[in-house]
Amino acid sequence: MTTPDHDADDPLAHRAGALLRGLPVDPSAVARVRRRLDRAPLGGAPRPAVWLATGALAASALFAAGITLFDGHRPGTPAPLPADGTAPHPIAFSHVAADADRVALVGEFNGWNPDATPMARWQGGTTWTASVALPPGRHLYAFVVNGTRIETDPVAPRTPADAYGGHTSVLVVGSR
Amino acid sequence: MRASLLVGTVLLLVAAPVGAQTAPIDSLFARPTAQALHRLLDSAATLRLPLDGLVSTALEGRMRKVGDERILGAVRAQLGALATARQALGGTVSPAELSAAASALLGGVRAAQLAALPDVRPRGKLLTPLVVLSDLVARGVPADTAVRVLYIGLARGLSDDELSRWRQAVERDITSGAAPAAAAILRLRNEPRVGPTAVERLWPIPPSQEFP
Repeated sequence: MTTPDHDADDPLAHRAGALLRGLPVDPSAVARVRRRLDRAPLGGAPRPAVWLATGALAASALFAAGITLFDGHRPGTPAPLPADGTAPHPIAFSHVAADADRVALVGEFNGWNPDATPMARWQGGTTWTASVALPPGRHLYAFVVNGTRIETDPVAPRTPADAYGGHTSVLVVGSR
Repeated sequence: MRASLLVGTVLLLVAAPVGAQTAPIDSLFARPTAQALHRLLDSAATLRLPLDGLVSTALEGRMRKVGDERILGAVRAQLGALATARQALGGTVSPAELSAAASALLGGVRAAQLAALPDVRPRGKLLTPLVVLSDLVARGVPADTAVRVLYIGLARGLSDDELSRWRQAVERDITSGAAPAAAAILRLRNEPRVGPTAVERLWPIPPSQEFP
């Protein structure tokens, strides 16, 4: 367990860090998260019409290479906003699922239908991608792996556990 | 004649979207369940609450393969939360804001806390603050703490972008093993527009009890 470096000179942060140290943490999970964060494109906006970099490695590679995907906008950059601010925005989703034979994107926009939006495997790897056009607003979504396992987007906001005992991810698509 | 045409047109305009929204209900659910869902949707329409989220909740339950009774319970709970959210936030909020507020309520935020939000952010949209609030609660920040830190940030004028960056930082810390409440407080202190002084002034907690 570590605390952020920039907290080091802050007495309160230091005290909190001391309290936080010693919590049970899976070191491999921390390493995975750090690797992902180190390589993911920076930017903290609520991600209207941006690449949802769950597959940060693939996204970073594509971003660095300047490859343009999905509806003509580059991953990591906002898509052009429609003129009237209400038309659907093209949104590219990605999800890393190492053991997946198939992954589907489900959400309010497709009636939570696992057959409606199958994701495509990116270059034979573990990253799966799909693109959908969504109007401005709040959209709930999740990924269905191998037809049965429902996973949230680890880097997106999520809803509190719902009456079904699961979380869903939240995407806010902004309007002009 | 003209009047009846006008009424007919208006009815079509109103009915078509509702029908489109609720169409999957009839095809996916057994008749008794579908009828019960339609009754709930009718109640929502009477209260002028958005139907999309309720239909979505039912379909999500279907996707998760849970029983019909549980689906009805979930839709009923959401309908109640939407109504409470409308009461708390007033009639001017958007359907998306209302759905996000309902989500926060279902996560444990109290209606009275929600009702204070428009005062804390009188001139801004409420959607991002509500999404951030729900996310904090979902990640284990106690609801009272989540409300308090969020409102301190809003009172200091954090923009939607700044709120989202703060949320991401909190999420990273929690993923790395930090205690959720501590992560939310510490990251707020690190926000340039907020700073430690504002947090300590508005949240005077003795050092010994800072992170219970």
